[in-house]
Amino acid sequence: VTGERDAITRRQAISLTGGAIAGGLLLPGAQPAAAAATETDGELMYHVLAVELLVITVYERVIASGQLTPDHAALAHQLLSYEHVHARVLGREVHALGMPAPPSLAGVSSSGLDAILASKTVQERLTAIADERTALQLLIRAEEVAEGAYHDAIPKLTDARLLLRSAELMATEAQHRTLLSFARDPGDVDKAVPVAFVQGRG
Amino acid sequence: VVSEPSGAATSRRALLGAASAGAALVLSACSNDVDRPAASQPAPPPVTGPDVTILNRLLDLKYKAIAAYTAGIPLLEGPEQDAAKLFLQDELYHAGKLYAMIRHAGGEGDRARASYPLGHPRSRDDMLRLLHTLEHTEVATYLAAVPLVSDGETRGVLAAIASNDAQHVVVLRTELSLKPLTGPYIGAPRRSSS
Repeated sequence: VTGERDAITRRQAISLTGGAIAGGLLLPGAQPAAAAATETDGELMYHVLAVELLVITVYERVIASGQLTPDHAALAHQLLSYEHVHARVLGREVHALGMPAPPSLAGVSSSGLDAILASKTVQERLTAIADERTALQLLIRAEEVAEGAYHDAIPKLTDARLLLRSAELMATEAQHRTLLSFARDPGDVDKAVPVAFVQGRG
Repeated sequence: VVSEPSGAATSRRALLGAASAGAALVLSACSNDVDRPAASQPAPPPVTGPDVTILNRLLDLKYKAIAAYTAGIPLLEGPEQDAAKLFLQDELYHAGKLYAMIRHAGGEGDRARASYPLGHPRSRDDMLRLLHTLEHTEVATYLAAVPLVSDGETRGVLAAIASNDAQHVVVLRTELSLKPLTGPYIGAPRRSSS
């Protein structure tokens, strides 16, 4: 899984996009270098919430594509409901830390979302979902991006409660990835659990 | 256990044949790169003295899981056995990484105990339930340890390990015909309300 082996950091992703990532993946007015140098817990949680909102939007667009079989659509709906729970939990944390909520991505075009995903080293495109395999692959990649966001934040967070919460959510995203991989390649454990150290992508 | 990266391009599958050698395999895991093959191997992160105690406690859990998988693999067959071998490999990588971090901090990595109380699993179902319980305990313990260690990079490694073990849990629950997920998130004990 390339996301684990040639993953780039979120900072690099920000650099790739010149700090102008659509949809609030970078704090309003923040400069990439400054964000990298002095990230507070509030800023870090803002970033992971922004990624969770990205994941939610990817799920919604993939489901809307109609390419998933009923069983897999049900799985996607279940995982999407869990992502909404994550976003609500994170939203409360971000609010408590005095940060604004990241803007919703609901109004961003699929090509705009593709650009964001590309900045996270995701090759698959929402605008090119031609079959179920591609649809599931996009969801797997989205979960890897979420894993990467948490993995990037955890070394920098200072609050113990936020650290625990982030680690729990990272582990959960890793479980989602495994389930989606089983949906794509039934019974293939090597693909479902591809690395011993989950780091995600982006 | 000696951490001495060989630089060999060891694939995950390549070591599976050694799965029956038990805890002694920690040696082979540690003598290879503890991370999966990658373009570069970062130096082990710095670990402080107090972290060493925590890491040794976590390492002991890994030894127990290694012992359980080693004992359990013969009781499994087919794809379930293949998965168990794969997960044993992961546990060996984890143990090797933890050991390397402890040594890098100037600490002494504890060795595996002579034996671990695993009960008396006699069937496929017994074994899968035991492995599921152990993996779930690992996830909860590693997640709980993340805020306890002082070094940021070490926290990242613990979260990476917990996430991999959480994936093992999904596979084992599937094999046991349980719901793969228990809810919106897998948690550590004593978590505050959400």
